[in-house]
Amino acid sequence: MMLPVQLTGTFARSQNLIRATRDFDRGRTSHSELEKVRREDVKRLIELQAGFEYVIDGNLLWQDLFRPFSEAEGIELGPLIRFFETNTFFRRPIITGKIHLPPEKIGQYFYFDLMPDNRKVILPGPVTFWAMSENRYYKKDFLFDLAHTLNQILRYLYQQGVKTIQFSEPYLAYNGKNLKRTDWEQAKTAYQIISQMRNNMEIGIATYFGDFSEITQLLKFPIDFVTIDLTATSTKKLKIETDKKIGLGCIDATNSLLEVPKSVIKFVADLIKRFKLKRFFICPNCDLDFLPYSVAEKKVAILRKVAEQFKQY
Amino acid sequence: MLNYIELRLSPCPDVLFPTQEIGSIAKPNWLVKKRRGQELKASDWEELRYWLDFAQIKEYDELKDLLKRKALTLKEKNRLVEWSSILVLKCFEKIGLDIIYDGEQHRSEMYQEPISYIDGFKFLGEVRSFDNKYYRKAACIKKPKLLKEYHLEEFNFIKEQTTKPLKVPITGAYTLMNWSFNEFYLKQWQKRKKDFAKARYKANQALAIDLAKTVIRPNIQALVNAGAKLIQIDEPAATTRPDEIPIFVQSFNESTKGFPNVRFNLHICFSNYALLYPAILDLKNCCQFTFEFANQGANYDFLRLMRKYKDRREIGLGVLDVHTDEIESPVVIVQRVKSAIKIIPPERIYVNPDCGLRTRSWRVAFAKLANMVKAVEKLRAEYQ
Repeated sequence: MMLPVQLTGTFARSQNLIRATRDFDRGRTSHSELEKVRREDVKRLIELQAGFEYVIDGNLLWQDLFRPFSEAEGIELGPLIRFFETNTFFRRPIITGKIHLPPEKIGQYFYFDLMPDNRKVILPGPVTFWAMSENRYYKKDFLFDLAHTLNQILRYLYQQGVKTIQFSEPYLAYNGKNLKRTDWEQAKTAYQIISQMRNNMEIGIATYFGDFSEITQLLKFPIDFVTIDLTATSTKKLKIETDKKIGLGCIDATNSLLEVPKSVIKFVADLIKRFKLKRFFICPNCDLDFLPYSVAEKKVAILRKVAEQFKQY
Repeated sequence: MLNYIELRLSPCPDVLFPTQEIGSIAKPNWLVKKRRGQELKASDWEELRYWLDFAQIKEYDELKDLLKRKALTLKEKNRLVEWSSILVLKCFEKIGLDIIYDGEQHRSEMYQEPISYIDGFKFLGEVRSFDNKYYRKAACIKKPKLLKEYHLEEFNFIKEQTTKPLKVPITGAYTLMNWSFNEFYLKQWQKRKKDFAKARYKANQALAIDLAKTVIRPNIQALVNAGAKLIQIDEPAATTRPDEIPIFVQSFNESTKGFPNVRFNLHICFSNYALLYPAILDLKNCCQFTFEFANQGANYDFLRLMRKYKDRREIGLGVLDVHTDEIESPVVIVQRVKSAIKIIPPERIYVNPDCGLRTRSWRVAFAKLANMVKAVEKLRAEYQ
């Protein structure tokens, strides 16, 4: 049996899909033609994940981590802003009124009809959303209002057969060490609000672009799993004492250099042993969207190899 | 204290507020279409005639002849690029800019083109920049080696077309490194450092320094040998990774050392400039920071930082927002410069757009620049 594997972010678009989106933007192809190409990409990605613990559709309809939310009532699309330390940009959400986002609207951004039963959905984490937005409306409770919105979305996603939901929280990893105690308390409360609607779904937080050893208080949040960016974490300083499931982000999605499976297996095995991990999965450190499609595919193949050969090691 | 201003003579010693262009101007329709093998429309001809009149170019039979031909050879297409270059230079001269280049008419963009002249890089595919916009990203797979000094021919052509001081823009080593995947050096450093973050830092440092030594310096040397005296190092990625700002500083110093008769300025746009201090105090050969301020609401916190750190370098003050078609009036531009004068003395201020104006039409771009020159005339009358 192979080691559990999950993908943890937006997947790269194929050359066909890039061409189709370009053609669509320039009025050279129809929306239905574009959709045909996109659905092919989703199908291909689902095939790539055969045997993985959970399966994503790659968020191929999402223009950035916040976009469907940025189109909600009370939010406007702002200027292009650098996404942390990458060369990728997002439209800053500008909060101009009370947030209202019908959960069905989010449903339109996923390909549930193509996904198998073990479906996983990736959403923006409320803390990252709060931190990366420009708030012109809320005096307080912005974070909690966001959490309530997500709470309603969770109920909807459960009805769509989603088994696990990952909230992407790069901000917590990148800047968590500078957050005040009260910020952390509010963040925890936000996740308490969200988790009320979890039903039987697993919910968790993906941290990336920062050192997890400095934000281990996250392990006390009311969630089921946490993923760690092992390319940005000091494993020397890292201490994990938890019965939560840990996602080991052992494949670098920000560099095209292909990992040697044998070395990754040893690295992962050492961590599992050192922290006596019972529940874990392996994953890329962040979105594979930061790589060209062909490299992203190769990285998934390496993850698979690591998972399959792990037992032999 | 810093003394590079005294060391490097100004290209315009007798005037206050020298005006300068930053980088690229859009390629004209007649050039784009003809290079693609498309026929020109009446409106393209009209637009061309307008700018030839504006630039007071009377002799252009050769250009007309080239544009009327059905198919063009590569050499003829390159000649069209030269015509576009001449036209931009003459428009800049007509407007009255003090320091010019040709709006980068010979170049396609600032990453892919330099990388294609470096052995050791391989393009892997397209990576998303935002929405449905992508750029081709390369990986460094072996030690970089310059195949050809890629701005030399262009400079040799441009210097024959004008007597104005020329400022050559060149993409800096740090940006070339940051916008590429670093496979070669990371592989080496992963063997030496167990901590991944430390290995990545060392690998990025090694690539940036090698690019500075083996790519940027030889390019600069070739330009200097050909007579270049003003060089603008473009480093839009300088603040992308705050922990790597010292690497950017090292690579800048390595790129520019040993050219005592050259004035180097540093252009960074779309960035948080506050992150640069105190590291940029160690920039050794930089006379001027040519930064974007209009797009940041004419916020001069960076100038206050310069004052705080007693940094006596010049500022290339961005007074035109390149992201909007709004033509800033001379009054607005004068106000922007006067606000800066409250923080930094007039003799250390150059006036320029925030960045290259390539996303604007020529009508908008040149109208903005013309107002900038008008504003400077008013300022000179007041302060000279």
